[in-house]
Amino acid sequence: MLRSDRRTPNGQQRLRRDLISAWAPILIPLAGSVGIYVCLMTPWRSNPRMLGSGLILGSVMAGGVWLLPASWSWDVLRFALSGGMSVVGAIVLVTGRSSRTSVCGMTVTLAGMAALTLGWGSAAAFFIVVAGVLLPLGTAAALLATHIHSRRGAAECVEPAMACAMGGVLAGVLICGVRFSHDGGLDRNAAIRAEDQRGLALAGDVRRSGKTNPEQTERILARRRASSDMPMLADALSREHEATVVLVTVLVAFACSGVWLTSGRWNRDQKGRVA
Amino acid sequence: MMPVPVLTLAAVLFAIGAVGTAARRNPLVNLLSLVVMGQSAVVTLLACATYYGQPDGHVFALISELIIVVHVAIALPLALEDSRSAETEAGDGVDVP
Repeated sequence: MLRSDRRTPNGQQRLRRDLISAWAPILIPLAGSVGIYVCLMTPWRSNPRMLGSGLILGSVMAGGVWLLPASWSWDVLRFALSGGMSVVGAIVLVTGRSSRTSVCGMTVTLAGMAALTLGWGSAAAFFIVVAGVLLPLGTAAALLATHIHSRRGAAECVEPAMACAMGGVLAGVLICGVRFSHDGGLDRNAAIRAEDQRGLALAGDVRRSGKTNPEQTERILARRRASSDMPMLADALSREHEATVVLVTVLVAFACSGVWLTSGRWNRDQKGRVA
Repeated sequence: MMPVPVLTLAAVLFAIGAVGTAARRNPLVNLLSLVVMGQSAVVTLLACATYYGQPDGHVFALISELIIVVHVAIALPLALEDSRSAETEAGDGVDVP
């Protein structure tokens, strides 16, 4: 973009959009992975707020990995992030010393699996709903029902129950929002890649036959450039309403994390434990 | 996506779930570890079905998912009721048998 263009409203809007397109797909999954590690793998995980924040960041990351562009190298990173998230959640589930920690680990595992299987077909969509929403909500309901029935420790169980419900709902909303926002983008990228493969096969035939076709070569190169130009987020941003829903959900998730972390309950718990 | 990395990931998750089922005595953790093992099997089915382009794996995955949900819905309250008496009110500081 020219420097003079940045002073106009349209230029500033385009600059802002370019910056978001360039950094958001990288920063959201990275922030999610760092947050999940800090919240669930460090001693701070004994703090319920940190556990809840880990859940929320897990949901953010589960949706965020699908903001990455559609190309082979980004697919590998997407697989690594979602697979790593699943493994970290499973390790937290097994090594957690309280039921609350284990439940949070399971929720993160399921969110990672849902992010992994996103776009694999109709059964995978069902998997996302079950893993991202129904299981955490069912867990929360079971926790509440059990503790309310026993009339003991209800205040203790509300926290993990709400964390499960919040994590599940956020994961479901975020994953479904990103999925439907990028639906056109995914289809378009699949079509581009299929066309690219066909073009490469044709180009190989042309090369083997000793004849060149500049027009076809230029078409292949143009498609390659288009497929590696972060089209998914661009598609999402062009659909302003869907993108707004997703981004607002991310912001609400971060705001919930902040409120969760800065609330005074943790200090009271620590004082009570020391006493 | 080639199925080998996905199958490796599913195997790792299955192993972690198996370790959790065998090593931990908390019934809730046992149940959740079983769920992780089941979900890794579902991921395997979905990966193979997607790679080979056959609908059979999707059907099996749907049935498996339903079975897991029913299993959790029935067993989780029982496991929680069982573990409730053993669990202390402390967070991560005290080990739960």
